[in-house]
Amino acid sequence: MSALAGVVLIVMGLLFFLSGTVGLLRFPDVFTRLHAISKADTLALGLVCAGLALHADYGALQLKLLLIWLLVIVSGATCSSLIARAALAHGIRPWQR
Amino acid sequence: MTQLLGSTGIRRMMADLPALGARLALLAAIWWVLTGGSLSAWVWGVPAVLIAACLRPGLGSGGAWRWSLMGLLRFVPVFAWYNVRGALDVAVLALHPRRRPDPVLLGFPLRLPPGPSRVFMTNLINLLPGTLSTNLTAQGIEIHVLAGSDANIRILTILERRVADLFALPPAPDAPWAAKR
Amino acid sequence: MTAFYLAGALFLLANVVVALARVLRGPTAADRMLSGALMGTTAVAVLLLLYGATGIEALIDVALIFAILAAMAVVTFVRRTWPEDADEDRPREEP
Repeated sequence: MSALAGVVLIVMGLLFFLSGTVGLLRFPDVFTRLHAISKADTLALGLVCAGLALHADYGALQLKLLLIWLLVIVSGATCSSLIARAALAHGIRPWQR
Repeated sequence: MTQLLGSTGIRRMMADLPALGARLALLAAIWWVLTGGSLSAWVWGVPAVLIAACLRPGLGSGGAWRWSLMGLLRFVPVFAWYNVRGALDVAVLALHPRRRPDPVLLGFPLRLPPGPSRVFMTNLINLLPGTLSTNLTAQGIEIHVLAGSDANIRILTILERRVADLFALPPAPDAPWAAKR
Repeated sequence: MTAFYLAGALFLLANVVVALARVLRGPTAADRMLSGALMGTTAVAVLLLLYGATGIEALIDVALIFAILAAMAVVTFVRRTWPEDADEDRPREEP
């Protein structure tokens, strides 16, 4: 049962990775692409970690997966702001419809 | 706040003791996780944890962090829900053949006091539906909204309240939350 | 199960190859860094899936190091390779 749930979570994670890449290619400027990366990718990795945690057999390993996810969430969120701020400071104006 | 009221160095050190204990416990827990509970690894772990706890990594010279466990427990589900919605939002926008982003830059006036809670909020905004923080100013946060909708701003105010709760801050009087530029 | 994990890892590798198009096209340095950040996250996921396929626990530690290095790369890029004006606190002109 938990094996199946793990597979489902990992497949969902892979789909979010795919959507992040599609956003990276399709979105018109660096800011909109940052949206795609910062949201889709962190959740995608979270789903992969959660899926693996369901398959893992002892506690320290699951906590380590949680630690990796937390690290990626924190760094992903911080780095998005850093890049967005630097892009604005370099005079890159957001794309507008 | 008490640190601003002319406390001596010794008193500050005494006040820091619980914080030091909390850091030691947190770092020891991280070490335990990293080494998979191996006993022999504590030969390196004990000095590493001690040194790291004394260096206060990343927190700089700011005052002690206040946070509340209940606040954290209330924050996590709200954050998780909106994080999933944000990822779904942007995934649909990316994959949909005809929909395109309609971005706009806004100012979001913050009710949080200057300090760690503001920085936390600035980074948190990137994980919520359709918002990206581009700058933290004295007045508030500059945000880039992916598909210009008021719902996204309302979510920010919900999360701002949760963040205030998480950092054990008193509830701020309501303020008008967004001004279009 | 091994086949599932390997297929997932291959899928993510294909994803990275596609994302390379953004590195080539740019147009700004930030866009290229962005694909770098995406690749960092994807590399972590690939390593975790390879752990699932092989059961080698060291791969999880490698994934952890990759996560840290990916964050370092972005910070280094912003601070060193693409620094802002020296006076950071100067208010920017409004658009």
